[in-house]
Amino acid sequence: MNNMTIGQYIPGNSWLHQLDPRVKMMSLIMLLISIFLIPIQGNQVDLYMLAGYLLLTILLIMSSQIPILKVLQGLRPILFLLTFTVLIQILIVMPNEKVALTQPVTFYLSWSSISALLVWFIFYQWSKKWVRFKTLYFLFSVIMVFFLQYILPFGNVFDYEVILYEETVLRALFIFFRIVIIIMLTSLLTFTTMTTDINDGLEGILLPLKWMKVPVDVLAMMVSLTLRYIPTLLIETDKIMKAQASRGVDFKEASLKEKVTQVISLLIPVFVISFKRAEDLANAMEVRGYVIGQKRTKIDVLKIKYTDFISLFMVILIMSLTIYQVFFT
Amino acid sequence: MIQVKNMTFSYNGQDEAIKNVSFSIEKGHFVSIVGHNGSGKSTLAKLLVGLLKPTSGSLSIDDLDYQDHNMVDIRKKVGIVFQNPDNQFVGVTVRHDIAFGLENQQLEPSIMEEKVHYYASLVGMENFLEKEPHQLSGGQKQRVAIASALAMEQEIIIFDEATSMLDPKGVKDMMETIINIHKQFKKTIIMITHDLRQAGYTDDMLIMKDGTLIAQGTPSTLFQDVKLLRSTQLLLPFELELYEKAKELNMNEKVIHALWAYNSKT
Amino acid sequence: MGIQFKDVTFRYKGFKTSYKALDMINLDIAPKGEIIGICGHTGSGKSTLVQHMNGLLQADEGTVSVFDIQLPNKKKIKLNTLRRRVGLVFQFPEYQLFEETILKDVMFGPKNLKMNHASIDSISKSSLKAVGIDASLFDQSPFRISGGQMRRVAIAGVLAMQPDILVLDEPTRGLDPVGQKELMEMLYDIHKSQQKTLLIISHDMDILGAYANRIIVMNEGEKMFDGDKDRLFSHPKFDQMNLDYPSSIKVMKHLHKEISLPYKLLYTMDEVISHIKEHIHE
Repeated sequence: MNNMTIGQYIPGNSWLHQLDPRVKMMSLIMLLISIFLIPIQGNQVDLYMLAGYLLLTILLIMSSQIPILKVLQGLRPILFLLTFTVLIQILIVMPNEKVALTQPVTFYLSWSSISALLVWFIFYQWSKKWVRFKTLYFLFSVIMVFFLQYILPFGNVFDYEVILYEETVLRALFIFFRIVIIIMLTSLLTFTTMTTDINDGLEGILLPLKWMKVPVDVLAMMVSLTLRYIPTLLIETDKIMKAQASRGVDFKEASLKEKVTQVISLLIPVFVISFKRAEDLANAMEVRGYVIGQKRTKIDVLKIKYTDFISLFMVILIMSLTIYQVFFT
Repeated sequence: MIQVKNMTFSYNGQDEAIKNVSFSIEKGHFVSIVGHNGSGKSTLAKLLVGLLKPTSGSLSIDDLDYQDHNMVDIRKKVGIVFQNPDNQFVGVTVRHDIAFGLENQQLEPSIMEEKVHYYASLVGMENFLEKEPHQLSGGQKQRVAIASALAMEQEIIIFDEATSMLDPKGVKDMMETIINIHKQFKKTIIMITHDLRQAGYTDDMLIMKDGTLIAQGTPSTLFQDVKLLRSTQLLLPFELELYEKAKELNMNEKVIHALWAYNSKT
Repeated sequence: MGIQFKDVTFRYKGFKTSYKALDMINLDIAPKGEIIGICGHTGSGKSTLVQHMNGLLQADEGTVSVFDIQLPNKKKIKLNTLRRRVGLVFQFPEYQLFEETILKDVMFGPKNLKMNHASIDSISKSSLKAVGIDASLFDQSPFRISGGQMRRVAIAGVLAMQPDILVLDEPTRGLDPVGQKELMEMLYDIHKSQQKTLLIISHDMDILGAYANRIIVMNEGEKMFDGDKDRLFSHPKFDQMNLDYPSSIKVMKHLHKEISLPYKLLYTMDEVISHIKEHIHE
């Protein structure tokens, strides 16, 4: 049977694991807001503030007992975005104060360099499946892109100069670390909180909306049921794929029209199963006393402890200091 | 305890799925309802738990009529375990699923915690409380369903073809659990099944055919009535069929006797 | 020809662990019109085994030969060539139905296999007839018929691909006794009329006893027994195999003990009755 569990929760006993999920989520939101309030000017004080947040993040990771490697892996999906952002800053954005750090370097987009780039691109796509350290390989290939443009001026079409300015470098670093911090903080939340607790926490936070007739508890039940059925649906979808594969479904060797039918051959059975399931489930829930909208208790009780108060207080303090620094000095 | 009087039911006013059925079930009895596919037994189950309303006639438990205003009280008296192990598993984990009905009853968390542990142990699932449903076999999921029903402490539990989708081991485990529950908790158990071997374990058997109740009696009595069994459109288990054929063919008394002994054993 | 397994080992790779689902399996299945039963406890590898027969899974060690096509293969083979010859019907196959009409759904398989256009229609229709679906239902939605009928349509969908070997994973699971009997009789008729080899995975020893000639017993990923059913049910180590005897044999044992009826391995009602009549007179 499947041994995966839904969500990214990594079991542990750290104080972060034991914090009330509502406190964790509200803290995360407040910290994220605070970070975004710091302007990107490239000003000394702003950099120190961001460094402070970075330090905080690292301390939180260390005290959570979550392996640092796992947290870094969470950055993989946005590697491309990060590289792109840094490059845009260095190549395109013009700083206010031109304090050059290097000599101008010329890059050429020539017939030779463009063809070399194409060859490299194809080579990279083909060879990357054999490389173990994909992240490093990616960064290496980015460096290659520029290197090729540097050494192949033959048949020049367009050339440009790049100068590293102090300000642009600082801005690039600033934006880089800002993105890294918000991803790492968010990952920390999902690593230290069970998916059911996230759901309960969210329900707890949004509860005041009930006064405005928003059925928060019913929505939370819907989310909970969805979470429960995702693994089951995945297993069933796999079975249907195998059944249809046994009937000759071969995604690679099919025309577009055939592909459409093949996707339908997967979707319709899943829909049919889901509708039957919904009907059976509704019956089961009704017999077990579930009435939509009626008050019900929960076996998992979220209790606020001292640590929760202190943590929340600290976060509010950090947020206030940031706001003060940014707007009032 | 359960009284059904002249009950008729039809889905959207067309053919009657249940035709003028009357019977009563005594408290603490282990009863089976058997019938061919389409005989109305599953419809009967849904009527008994109040998921469907009779078109005419009446249903009552302990003199409480199945009316809308009584539904909350009726739900406290009768619970059900359905056929599909996946389609009645509500909770994200075993623990949450057993607690689901208790949460609906608005019990205190500490009490719920106790009950969840107690009833999980009763069905042998106490080490699986944190497991998620896709990590369990069909038989294990059904045991959780039983624990969930037990936890609600209803006097009557209905099993609607609850073993149909299980493998032989799952069926065996489940039957043992059901028989134990009946012995230990003296609950009234209604088992809807197409397996006459399972019906053989019960005190009382109701036979449905084409929406009507054609017989009610102890399995021993009914199994000896060849004509009745032939009219049910049910396929008899091998040894029972052999017994009936032996009688029909007027075989040596020794044979008939030995076959009856065998049937009584299983 | 047929299917050969040579020292096949297969592992399921889980999140952090892997376990051997198949361990050194050697097997020979010739398409000569026999019915082979496969049984064993849940998790013994039965389903995994048959999924190697049409290329859904490929062995980690050892080789599987399906009608002279070897798996794993250095060259890229079109797996549909395998699926044309080995038809696999999964558990609860009625879930694979999706088309607008029953006939269209049955034609889905042949179309994917790019079978001869002209014959797809007639083959699909005759497959539906073979499973007992009347022509009047051909244009009906597959969702408007009973569960038992849906299952037959699903089987027709695989039959229409005209496989040499038909593999069925627990074809009677979830059906009531009458439904089970009708389905097995239908499969037997198809086997007889088309001389197809059937491979039936089942937990039901009565079904295997009544219909199979050869039985393969799987246990913890290993092949514990492969041979004639009479040999299985008289095997000295039978009790260690965690299997049940067919009901007919259980009754025979009882009658042998109680009234000294000569013990014989019999599998059908008629056989048992004749045997009793022969030895015990009124």
